Amino acid sequence: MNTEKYLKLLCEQTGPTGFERPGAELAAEAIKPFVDEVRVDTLASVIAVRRADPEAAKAATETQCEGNSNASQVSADRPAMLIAAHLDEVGLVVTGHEDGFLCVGPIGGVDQRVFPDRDLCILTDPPIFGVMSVQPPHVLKAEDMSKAIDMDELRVDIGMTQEEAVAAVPVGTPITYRTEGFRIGKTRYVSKTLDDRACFAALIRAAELLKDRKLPWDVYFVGSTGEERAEGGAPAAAFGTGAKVCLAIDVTQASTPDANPKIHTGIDNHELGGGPVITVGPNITKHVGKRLRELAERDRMPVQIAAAPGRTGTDAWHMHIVREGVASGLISLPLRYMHSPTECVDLGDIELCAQLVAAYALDPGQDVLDCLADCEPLHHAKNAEVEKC
Amino acid sequence: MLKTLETLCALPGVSGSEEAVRGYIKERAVKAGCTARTDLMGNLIVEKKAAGAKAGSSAPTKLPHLMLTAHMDEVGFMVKAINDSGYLRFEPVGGIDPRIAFNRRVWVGENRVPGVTGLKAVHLTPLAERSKIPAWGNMYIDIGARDKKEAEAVVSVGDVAVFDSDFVRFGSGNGFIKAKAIDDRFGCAVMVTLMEEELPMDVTFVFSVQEEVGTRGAFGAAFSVKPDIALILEGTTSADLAKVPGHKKVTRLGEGPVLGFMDAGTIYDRGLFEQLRDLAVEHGIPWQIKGRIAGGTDASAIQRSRQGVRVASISAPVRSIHCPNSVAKVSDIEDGLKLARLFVEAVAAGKIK
Repeated sequence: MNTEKYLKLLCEQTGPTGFERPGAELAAEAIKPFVDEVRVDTLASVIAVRRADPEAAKAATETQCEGNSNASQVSADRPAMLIAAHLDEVGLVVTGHEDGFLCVGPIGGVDQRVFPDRDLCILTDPPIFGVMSVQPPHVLKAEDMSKAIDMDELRVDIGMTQEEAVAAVPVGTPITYRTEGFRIGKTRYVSKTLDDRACFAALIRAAELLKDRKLPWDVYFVGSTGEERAEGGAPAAAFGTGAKVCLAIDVTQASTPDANPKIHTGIDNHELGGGPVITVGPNITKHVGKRLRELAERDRMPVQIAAAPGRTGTDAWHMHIVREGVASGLISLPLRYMHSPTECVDLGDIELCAQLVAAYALDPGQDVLDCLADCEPLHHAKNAEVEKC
Repeated sequence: MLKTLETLCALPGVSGSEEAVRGYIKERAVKAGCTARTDLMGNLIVEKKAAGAKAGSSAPTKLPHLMLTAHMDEVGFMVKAINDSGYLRFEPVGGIDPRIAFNRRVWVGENRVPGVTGLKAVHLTPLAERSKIPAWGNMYIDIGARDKKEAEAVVSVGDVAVFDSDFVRFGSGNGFIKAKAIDDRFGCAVMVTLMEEELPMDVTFVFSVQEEVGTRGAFGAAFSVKPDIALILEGTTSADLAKVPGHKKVTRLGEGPVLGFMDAGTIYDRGLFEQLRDLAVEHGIPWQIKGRIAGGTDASAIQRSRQGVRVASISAPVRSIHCPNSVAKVSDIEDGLKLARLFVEAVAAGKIK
């Protein structure tokens, strides 16, 4: 698989949180050749599935269509696993108009400092071009030059009069960066929205690795929505599929010269090119984290470990408590300059992420089966309620 | 002319490394039947004969020697050091606003190595730091190298880096453009257009170097060309933005070319200024002046050359000047070309007071 081709395809599509559907449809098409079924759900998440037994599933679907009320038992007899990477991206939203320029607010955690003189894509239909205006040094005081411009003060230049702007760009219109992806160095790729579509590319690659392989469980590949504002695409998908094990695949901070974890915030930084990061901590079911580490060791895969004492800030946090609770895991892709228009990943890390995901899907280990056996009665009772997907 | 401007803006030409721009213009000059030479500073000096004149012959009546000037160089970065992890430390070449310097795609050195200027993620930035802009010395370019050795294989200290930016038409009626280096490929585009037209008199076109680091090229060019009159074609600051009060807008997009009467470097020839103004009024071309005595052009060097030169300037107002996403209005650019052409005609007709 040409990972770069998928990165370009996925990342250059616009899809800020709340406006993911066009991107979801594109992502669904991209993963389609490697799965048995794919659809886009109510919240615009992509739900793709590789059936453990495609023939049985097909038969079950057919009988279900004939009104057999026991059809959902097919999935209850066989637990499902869900692996999610989110498709939404950070951005801006139009909050007003002033002298023909657009006032904006943030969608997700953006850094106000990256916007002055930034080229932008205003998501009207069709989208229009805009550039964040910046007052030239000539009209400022010297001390202003070392100060960031507050989000409230930022104005987008769309080359229009006030009247034209009000008519062309309604309040509430979302805005994204308009970076084209490109390669730097031997193995690195720069683009907007690698958080988290680089991880969805890893899911496509994992699905490719699993193609024609026999799976122990049904495996759902989910392109989730709403992650940047913790708005529930992934937990909804976890609920809807009734998966018993949910892995989130998300990006994590990679070190840069100005961000040394020891000096800065205490957030773990990992090395770009150092391999996927496996998280351990209360948000991660012990046997999942342990199994991922075992598999990495077995396959001699370089991995990095992150210790998260609490919230992981990923879909794993939200999926963990779906229904009666699910077994949850997190694999992270190191990434530099998160939420900027020039995020940077290592292509080798993406491949390793995909391999680790595929290894887990093929063999989640005995511990998870033991745990599921322990909660068997409850497991069956709950699964009887699983909605038709 | 917009097609020419688009091509010119795309070329890299940080001060001192104007080769690509010069090469492109020289080719067009030669094709247009002009003589072109490059002086020791790197200025491209193009001689265009009057229409109908035989090569080598001089004009029948004694006209002032007219020189048109635009600078080829643009602002950029220079690599100051390569650190142990393979990141490049840099400083600006020319005046760059540090507030726009990070998360930019750049091309480093003659091999055009792709890179990106870095800034740690917002999540890793303590709240108090989020309102501050890092100093130049703390910024860096990431070229994807794993270590110093890998970086040194493709980049050297002293290499210059240029912004990557495309050319976009946008706004109402597609009347606006955005690109890097509109300052001063606008002037270059006007001059390339004129040098390919039939002109009523001999004109010397000077495509100068190193304007952004102190009008260095213009000194020598003015000395060797010995003009009587020099018309400078430039890009000039506009703060024509929301919330900026009228007196602070400096210049306004769509209100026509900016005629130089005074800036931080030059008090322009009053007669020529009035001549330009009258030509604009006579031909219904909008014009404006800079509402702020600031900035400078090659005029400051040319005016002081030898026994002195009469100088005038026509500038396009540019928002986000010296930024990768500079914005200008098409009508101002086209009006700038019209007015420059009218000026040449006026000089040729002996109308200059």
